[in-house]
Amino acid sequence: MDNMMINFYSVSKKYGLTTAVKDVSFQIPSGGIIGLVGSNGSGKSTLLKLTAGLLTKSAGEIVVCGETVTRLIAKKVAFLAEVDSLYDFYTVRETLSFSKRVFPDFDEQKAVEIVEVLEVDLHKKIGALSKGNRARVKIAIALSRKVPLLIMDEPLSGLDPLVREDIIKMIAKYVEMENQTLIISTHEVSEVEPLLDHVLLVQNGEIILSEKVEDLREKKGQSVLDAMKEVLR
Amino acid sequence: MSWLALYIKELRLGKTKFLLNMIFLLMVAVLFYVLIERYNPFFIALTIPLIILHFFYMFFAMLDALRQEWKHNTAVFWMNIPKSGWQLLTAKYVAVMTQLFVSLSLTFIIIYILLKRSAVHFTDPIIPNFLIEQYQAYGWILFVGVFIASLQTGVVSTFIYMVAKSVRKWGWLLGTGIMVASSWIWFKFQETAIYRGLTEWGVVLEEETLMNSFFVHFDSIAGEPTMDMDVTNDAILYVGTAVVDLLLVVGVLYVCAWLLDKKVEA
Repeated sequence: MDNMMINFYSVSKKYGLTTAVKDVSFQIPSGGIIGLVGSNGSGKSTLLKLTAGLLTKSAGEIVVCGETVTRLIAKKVAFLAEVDSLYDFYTVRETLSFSKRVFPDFDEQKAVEIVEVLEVDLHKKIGALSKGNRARVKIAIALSRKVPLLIMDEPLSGLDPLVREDIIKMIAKYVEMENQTLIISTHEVSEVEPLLDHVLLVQNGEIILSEKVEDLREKKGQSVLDAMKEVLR
Repeated sequence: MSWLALYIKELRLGKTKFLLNMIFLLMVAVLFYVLIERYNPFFIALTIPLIILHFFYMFFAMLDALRQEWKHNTAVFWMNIPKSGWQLLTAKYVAVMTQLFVSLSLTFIIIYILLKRSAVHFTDPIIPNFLIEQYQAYGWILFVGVFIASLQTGVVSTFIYMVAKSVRKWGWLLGTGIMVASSWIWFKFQETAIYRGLTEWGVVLEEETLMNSFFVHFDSIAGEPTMDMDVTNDAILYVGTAVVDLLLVVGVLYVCAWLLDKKVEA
């Protein structure tokens, strides 16, 4: 249990009368990239926000990095939201400087390097950037936090193929696999599959598959997509 | 340092609305100036609502500062900042308080200038001069009083918003209900000997002194009708009351910060 990054014990989450997550229990070990896959509305975002302490559970217990989750788990968890969540009045440079000052674990040099590689204008205001460039800056900030757990909620959603490709390359290049665990939620399974070490399939607020991607390939001869199809059939 | 970064960010977040507020104040000042100069010096009375509006400044400004985080989806980023809720909320609160200070100061300066200008137009300068003297002597008490009252309304809206973001469906109602009930309990507590013991120290102003200043002034004008004002309540204004009020503000903010760390949802 000690080397587990994330522990969910009978966790449920309700929004009023609607149950988004039903009595879910699972563990995720430290290290590697974990894909949280499932259709829209299956409960992926809720699970990720619960893990990051951005939602409160209705029942059960969540332990991340050995700590019971509250919002203050943010010192160990970087959360990247699906929506545009940066302050649009800051320039890109100011956003990185602000991040440096509020995130003690932030590597500004790395962030500037990522942003420059992606050719995003440092002097442009966030509000004036294209959607793709805003996504690139968001990813650069998340990847520049030296935290044990990175959470990315639908980082590819609504972006054109070039931006998606950039993001996948950045993840592959900049996630520190020895020290960090990345959970990435998506319904674009085939695009992220080469990155994944482990896959969790969510449906109707329940985890219906939890497998190492290597096991799927070697023992069952399946891709993640094949496994999804089989389980959902 | 990180608190300062958060504080500066909050100032920038509210910059546009604050500038609009300043422009509005200056436009109103010009309008009142024209009305006083061209029509009637009694238009000076129209400046009173400007002070009254500041009672609610913090209430609406805090509400807006918090609402913007959720409206623009920045709440997920803001809440993922690994600083205590106390730091996140006080940065917001102090930024709004800074704006209140500037806005209220400007309002008081505008009123003073208009008061001076209106005095010129009265046929009998006794009353306007008396008002100017009183304003110079006790204006700062009014300033501090409005400022503290506004700070209190600020924590009320912060608390209601925090509860609303903690309890999904009926949060607004619950937060408002808790605030109404707490205020009632606080008013009842103000009638107790314990409250008096805590607050009745450091006399700032006695009603009798204030009333005497009225009497002396009018009575000293030879040949003018005198005006006699009696002390009705023997009311005394204490520093202790202000300190307890401020401690209450800090206490409620602390509860809000706890809610942000433990209960609020992005």
